[in-house]
Amino acid sequence: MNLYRPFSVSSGSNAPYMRGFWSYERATWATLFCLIPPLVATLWENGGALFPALVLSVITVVGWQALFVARRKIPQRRGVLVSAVIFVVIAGSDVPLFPAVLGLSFGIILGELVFGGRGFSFLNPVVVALAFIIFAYPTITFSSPAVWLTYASIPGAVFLIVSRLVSWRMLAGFVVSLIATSSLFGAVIDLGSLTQGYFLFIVIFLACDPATSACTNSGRWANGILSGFLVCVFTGSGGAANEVQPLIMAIFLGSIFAPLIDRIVVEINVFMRSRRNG
Amino acid sequence: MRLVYRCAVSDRVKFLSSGVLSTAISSFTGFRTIDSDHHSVIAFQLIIGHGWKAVLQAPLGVFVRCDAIKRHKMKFTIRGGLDLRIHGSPKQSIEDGAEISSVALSGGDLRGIRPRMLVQPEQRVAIGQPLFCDRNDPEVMFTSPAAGVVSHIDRSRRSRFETIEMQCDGKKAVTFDTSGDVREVLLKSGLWTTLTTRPFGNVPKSSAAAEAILVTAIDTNPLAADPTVIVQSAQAEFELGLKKLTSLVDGPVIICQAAGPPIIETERKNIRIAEFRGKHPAGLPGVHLERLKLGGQRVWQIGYQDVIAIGQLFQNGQLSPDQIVALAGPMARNPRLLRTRRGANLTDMLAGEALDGELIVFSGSVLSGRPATFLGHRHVQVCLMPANSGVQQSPYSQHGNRNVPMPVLPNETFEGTLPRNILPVPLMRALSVGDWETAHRLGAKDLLEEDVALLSTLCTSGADYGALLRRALVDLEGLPQ
Repeated sequence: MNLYRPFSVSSGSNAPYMRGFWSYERATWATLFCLIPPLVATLWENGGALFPALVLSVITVVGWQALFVARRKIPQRRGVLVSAVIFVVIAGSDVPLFPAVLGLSFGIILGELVFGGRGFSFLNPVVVALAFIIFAYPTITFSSPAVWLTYASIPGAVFLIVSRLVSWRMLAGFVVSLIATSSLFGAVIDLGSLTQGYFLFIVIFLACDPATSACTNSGRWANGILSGFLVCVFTGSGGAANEVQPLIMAIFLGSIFAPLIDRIVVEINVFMRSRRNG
Repeated sequence: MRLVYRCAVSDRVKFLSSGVLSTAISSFTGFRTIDSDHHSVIAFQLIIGHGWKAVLQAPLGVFVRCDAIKRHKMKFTIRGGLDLRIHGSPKQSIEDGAEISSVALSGGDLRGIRPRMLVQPEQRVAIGQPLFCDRNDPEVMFTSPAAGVVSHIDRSRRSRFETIEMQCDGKKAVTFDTSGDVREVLLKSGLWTTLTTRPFGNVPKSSAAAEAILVTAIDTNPLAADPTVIVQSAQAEFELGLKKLTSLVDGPVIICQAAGPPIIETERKNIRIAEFRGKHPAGLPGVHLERLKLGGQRVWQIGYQDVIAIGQLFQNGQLSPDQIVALAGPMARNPRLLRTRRGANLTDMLAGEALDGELIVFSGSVLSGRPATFLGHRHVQVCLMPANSGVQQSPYSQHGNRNVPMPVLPNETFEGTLPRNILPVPLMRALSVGDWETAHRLGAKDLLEEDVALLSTLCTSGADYGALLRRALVDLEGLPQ
């Protein structure tokens, strides 16, 4: 019978024996699979016109990561592919190739790679890339997406929420705040339009990104509420909440505020504990 | 007056108003309600003596003490948590295990102890004879769980020892005079070391005092034994042990049990029952402390089998060498409860029990236990796991010859694995970067290794939060209180 010999198992590290199902790699693969239907819907609508953008985006992110792996010694991860696919679905058909490569390079480097990769940064690279494009090329307009995009995003959204990879609190806070704020402003937002356009896709895959949104339960509510409120503010009167610009800018600011929100939640928690313990 | 419970102002007002309300009802209707006697009388005494402010500032213990007399049963439901379905749960019936040829005490299990050896290798010892004591507190003694010959003392650096091993031979046992002070008897017999302090998880000092004792008679670990089955097999001893424990503290002895009929048959003053239902970690003392509002206070915890051992000591005057463990896991041929010895040699115990194939033997829970060759101090589980099945991949990504930590991907499931008032992800981040001060502010002192074991399981980073938490606690303990 083979009894345990110290440190003879599990690849030399004395990490815990029982591992949960969701490893980093599995979470990445799951998100990639959830992105297949939206990607297919977008490709279907645009025909072959989207392929150059897709190929170029993948080459861009993989290339920059390879450079950082070689020079900065960060580990190679597949999370960058997720960023490339999300970027292509949103920007592939409207943004010319040069601005797209430039924006995506900016996003992937400053939003992710300089921090050491996904999970270490506080901004989603796609959000940074799109914000860059919106600022640098104000003339570019985002047309409405594939008709089926929202419906194609639903299976992935359901899966991510049920598997807890995406926080339902964040999503609920976002939607509730959007509805509440818009009714407060006198229904400036056409809520019916949320079933079309980019709304669900962007909210699920960018706003609710666990790596860049708040990481405490109360913080998730607050972060969702803040982002939803900001969408209303940026949409202005008569706008629709399913357009790329207001959504991206709201999520951009929401992500920047997420660490602050967490900090506030932590300080409240610490205060309550000190009061309880005297 | 030593006061046990402290809690938020809102709770006090609620409690007080219920007392005042019930007094009002009883004075109008002429009926006496259950609450009216205790709460209102104490409330009025406080108001007259110290004014309204004193009532609001008074710890709730004043009121809860009255409840202790009523033996009001507390019930808590733990939301969240995890049900790790591991194949091979034990059949809940106790059988006698194989003959054990040697036993050992492992130094790694004993927190806060610097041992001074009282025996030599090759010396013959009896059950209950002191083997070593704490250098700083010689009254805290560790006694032999078996009669036989000390075969091996394995010392390591800084005079801490790894294991002290004995070959079992005969049944000679020391007889203790159990008529004296309970604390003294426990110290002499070595059963004192079954108590664990909160915070820090040490063996309490011989002169230490606690505000309450928590008896953990619930086990939600995967593959665990059902405590009610084991307690029922020694009901009289369990209740005698509880009775003796009540004389150690001024506050209550709280039995934490799973939902169901009360685990004790006779009611006794100062013994309270708290019921917890839910998935793991509903059975962990860390969660119980939070729900019972005992966080941040000096509390001792003790396992149900150790209470039985105390009862047996006071009944027979001798230490019982027995321990019942759940032998389970995917590699167990016949998963069941086994009556074996404290510190048993697992190779003896597992003869013919394991299926073919490479396996890892865990002493303790598969979540928070450790791979071992001897049954650990206070462990009530032995898990037979296949080698490498739980490890889906190396949690660290290899980059050249350098281990790069994976990032923490926050997940809502983390929230259900800790006591409610602790924020998991900020705590995990503080622990991973070695920021003990922030960890302390976030409530690390309310936790022990077992409480964060689920985080290590779920986290994508592959960090061992139990080990990190222990390092934080060691540092925090060094600070002036």
